[in-house]
Amino acid sequence: MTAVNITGLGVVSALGVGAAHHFNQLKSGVVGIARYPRDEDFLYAGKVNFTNRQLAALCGVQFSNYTSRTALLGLFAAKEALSRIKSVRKFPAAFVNGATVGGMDLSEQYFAGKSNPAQRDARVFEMHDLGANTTFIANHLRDFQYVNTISTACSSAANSIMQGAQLIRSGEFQYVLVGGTDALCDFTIEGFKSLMVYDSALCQPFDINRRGLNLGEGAAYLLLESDECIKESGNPCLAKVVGWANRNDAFHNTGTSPEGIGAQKAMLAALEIANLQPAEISYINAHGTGTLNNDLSELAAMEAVFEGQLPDFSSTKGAIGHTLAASGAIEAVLSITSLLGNCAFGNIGLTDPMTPSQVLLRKPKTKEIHHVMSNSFGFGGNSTSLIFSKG
Amino acid sequence: MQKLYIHQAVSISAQGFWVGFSLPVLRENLQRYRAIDADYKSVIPAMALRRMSKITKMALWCGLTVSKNTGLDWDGIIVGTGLGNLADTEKFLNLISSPDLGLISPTAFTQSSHNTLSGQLALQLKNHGYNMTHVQRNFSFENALKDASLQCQFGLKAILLGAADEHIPLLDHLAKEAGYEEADIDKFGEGASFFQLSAEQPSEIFVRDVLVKTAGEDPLQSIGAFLEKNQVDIDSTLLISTADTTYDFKMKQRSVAELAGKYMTSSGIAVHLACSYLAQQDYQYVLVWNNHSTNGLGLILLGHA
Amino acid sequence: MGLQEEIKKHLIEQLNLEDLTPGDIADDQPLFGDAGIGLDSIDALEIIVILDNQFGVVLDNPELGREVFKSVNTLADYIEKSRS
Repeated sequence: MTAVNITGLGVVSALGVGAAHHFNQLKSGVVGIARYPRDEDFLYAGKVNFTNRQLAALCGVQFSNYTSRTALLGLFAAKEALSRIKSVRKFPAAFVNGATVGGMDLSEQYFAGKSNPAQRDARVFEMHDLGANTTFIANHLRDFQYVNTISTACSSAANSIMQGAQLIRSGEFQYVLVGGTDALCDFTIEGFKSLMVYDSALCQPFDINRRGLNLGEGAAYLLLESDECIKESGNPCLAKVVGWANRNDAFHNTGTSPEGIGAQKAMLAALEIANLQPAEISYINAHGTGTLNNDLSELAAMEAVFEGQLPDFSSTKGAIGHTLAASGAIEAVLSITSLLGNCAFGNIGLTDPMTPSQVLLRKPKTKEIHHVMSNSFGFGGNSTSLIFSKG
Repeated sequence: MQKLYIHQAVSISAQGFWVGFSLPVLRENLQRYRAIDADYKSVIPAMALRRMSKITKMALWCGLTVSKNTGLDWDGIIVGTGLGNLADTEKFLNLISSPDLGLISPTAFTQSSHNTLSGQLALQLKNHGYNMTHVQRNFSFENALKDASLQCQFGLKAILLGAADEHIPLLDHLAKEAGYEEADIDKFGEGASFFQLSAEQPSEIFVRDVLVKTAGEDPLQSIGAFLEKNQVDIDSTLLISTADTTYDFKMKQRSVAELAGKYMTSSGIAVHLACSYLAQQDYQYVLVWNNHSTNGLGLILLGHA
Repeated sequence: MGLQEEIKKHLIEQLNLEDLTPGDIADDQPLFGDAGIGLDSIDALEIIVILDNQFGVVLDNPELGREVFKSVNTLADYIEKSRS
């Protein structure tokens, strides 16, 4: 049974570029969320500090008004993931991408210009659908025998990592690039505002006074290789994907059950695949969006699974915002850096923690981390849990 | 690929609704391809139904009908959709683009996620199992099918697999602006197809193999190689394509486009049609050829035991 | 049209309660939960939108919502109080 080896990491978010850089920023407690001007007002969001033009230039592609920001962020992070590794041509490659926004940043321009027919340009829809964004990224990287997009709201990229791990474990593929990308756009900002869960202040995950989330944007990818492939490529194994599971909460379309049933089932199933006991998890990178509902359900779920013996845990969304489809992959990369750097990250924004227990980390904690769990929960009750271990 | 047995199929399209492998008389010579609504109320609870746009209604009606007929607690619910919930997306975009931005109604946003279909099915069935949505353009259904096979390798037994896409008038408008011919625009269709799959429990009809190629390749060559790999005799095989074609494969062939129109996941209904031919034992094999795009192809090989 | 009738009309329209007419909703009938019409948390948000867009009334404190949204009568009371 082959291990699922992680040999490449690429990430871009409001904190900047690169896994090592993100580790340093999080260890120092840096907040990437900032005021983002909108009309005559502002809101807090984790915006990536590059324009589309800059991203296109960095990716080495021609800038176009019809290329979505989601695709550019994705290509940028994907190239980063493949940059320091030796490519393998012996085995066919697969690419699984998580997305929800896709080309919405362009499509909404069409609607914004609706009052003025001269401003309406149908071409902005060319990259609307999610698959088009994935195909754009794939076409600028290399040949892939299998290309797929998974869209399950906030757990999209986590599910992409899971599918990649399964493709390797099953022997169907030896070399799989997995991850996700989403750009900030009016659609999602207004969407979460309409649900009255967008915090007008800096978000405070797992805080008693939490008021909601701050959105973010970004992308992250991991390169997965089988044991046979790694022998061929010689790429060092950074960490391993050892556990994965997807389950459904089946409680409400957008809300989660008070007990976090879906989350519980996903965590337990992932532990079973990893052949680990709950006590062996050193650190959990929680979904922790900062909404009243999620953090309550998630804490209840963790307490149930770990039977009151919670490991150290934190949400990193206070630093980068909720990056929607990309969150599962960005946070997977962050989890892996915590594993490699032996440092569990602090939960930013705490003033009145939901639990007095010190396992809800008020600040970064240096410790030996052997196994780290990363959780992502999305609309439609979608619940995914991943476990990474040292290589 | 893990062989998958198909036990049940339910579809909605311009052909009306199909339940099971024995189909009603096919409606030919259609001019337009809007799916004919089923009696959604009979299967979907009113308080959930009231919020649903057509794609969700179609998918739920099909998925819940399959579920009712089998009484199984699914290990997995897997859905493919090319464009997702277009009506809700358009509705919310109109809301947020409106000049008088008062408080905005959240319902359309909550219904617009691509995984609304798989999520709502889990919700209505109180199903806690594996739940996945694939959105890879024309190959969304093929990828969902491949995922079903993959999950069976990891122990899932009963899987509800489906596909759905809807049509909205905006699509016609955008296609016109993009220079599509009127005749092609008239062919835009919509529909949903759901299946009960099992890797363990045998049935007369099964999926033998699935292939997706994302680069342009000679279809004659690809199909020939695919059939040869599976040791399938061309004479006992029917070819069902998702779009009309002028290629002659020296096989009996028909297009599902003339029955249900063209939509990204119409290979789903092509598979349902394939099941009906296999159930009648007209053919030993049916090859579903997804030829929506000249850039790549999808092949699903189905057989009769 | 009385205020209660007007509220019912908006509820039916905005919440897509296609099968109901104003006559089907009693003034004091619970709107939420299984014992009532069966509205949920998304409906609560939609009612906040109705209060604002149709009646010019803002519900600042979501905690108040539970009491205010109990029935058509409590909604009418809140609207009248806010207007005066």
